[in-house]
Amino acid sequence: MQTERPTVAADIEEAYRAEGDRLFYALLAYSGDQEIARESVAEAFARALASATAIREIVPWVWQVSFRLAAAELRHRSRLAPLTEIQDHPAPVPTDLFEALARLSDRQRATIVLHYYAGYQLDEIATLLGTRRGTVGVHLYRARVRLRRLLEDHDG
Amino acid sequence: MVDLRERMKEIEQNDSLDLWDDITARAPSSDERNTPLRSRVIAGVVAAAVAIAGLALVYASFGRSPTNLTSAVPTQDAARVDLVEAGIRAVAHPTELLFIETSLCRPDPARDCPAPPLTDEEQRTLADRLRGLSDDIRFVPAGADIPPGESPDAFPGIEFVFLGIPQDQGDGTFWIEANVLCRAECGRGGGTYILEKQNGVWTSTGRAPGTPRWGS
Repeated sequence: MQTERPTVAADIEEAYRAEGDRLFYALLAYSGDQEIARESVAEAFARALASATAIREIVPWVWQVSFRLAAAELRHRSRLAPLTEIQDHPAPVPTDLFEALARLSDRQRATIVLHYYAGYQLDEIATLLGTRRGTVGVHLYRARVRLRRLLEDHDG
Repeated sequence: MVDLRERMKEIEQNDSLDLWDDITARAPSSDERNTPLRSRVIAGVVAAAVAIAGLALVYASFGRSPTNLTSAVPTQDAARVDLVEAGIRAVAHPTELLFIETSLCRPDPARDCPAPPLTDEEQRTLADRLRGLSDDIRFVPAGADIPPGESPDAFPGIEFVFLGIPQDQGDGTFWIEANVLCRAECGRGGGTYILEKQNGVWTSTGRAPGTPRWGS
């Protein structure tokens, strides 16, 4: 028996007001692209509105869906890029941190952003990314080592 | 030594975005306007399967003892996760990537549902037990949440399983609706399956008689 109160539009707006900016910046760090970050946030919350009553916990749901949308768009663009040389979408924010993040794999970047920026624990990241805790741990370890090296090299 | 937590604060800029108007503008017809064609094709196939399977549930409910449609633990000796696992095994094949729908609410996961979706604990249990089927098992609230780049009908090595609520038949068996979507000729299909406990393990022993089936 469903005992929890169904999610309603007001809950979703409240979640957006509380999490929207943080989610956007996490997606920006993950994708390196403001357009992808903005679209993923908007689309995830729009989908939440479209199926509100079926969602039990709105915040993890939108994080999960938005990261998957961003991941799909990154893969889509990587397939198109060699053919069309897309250059017109907004460039990543030009800092050494973003440059270093861009040199990680997609999964490494997702785990490092979700852990060190968004504050999620390994179990939570595993749920968000649809993988296992151990896999997240491996990605996080490798990402941490590589990112520290990249940032230390940059800092001199 | 670089403090990553400290460095990550650089991610956040001073600007604040307000996308709420954009979100509400696209919400009413979000699926229609934003879902890629490939996903809409999947949705069509799912809808057809759901319609057939929905009929199966209606047919199955006639002339039978009352069934338990709402409990997360259908009986004291049958945990829902065990029955769901058996349902998944009835239709899924070994694959690179396996999506499992967490809602057990056919025909429409977005509607008010008599059964709660698979819990985090159930998802963890299933992911652990089904490792032999796939190294990459992911749970999605609904088929529409599968990224377009991982559509099971577009790419080999990806399957999507969606199930109904296990129904106690009152004779020591359960029936469960189970369906799998994947690329053509992969063995896509589904129907209603009989689950029986064999050597202490819930196992599918075949399709329920008189219920519709679909598949290639």
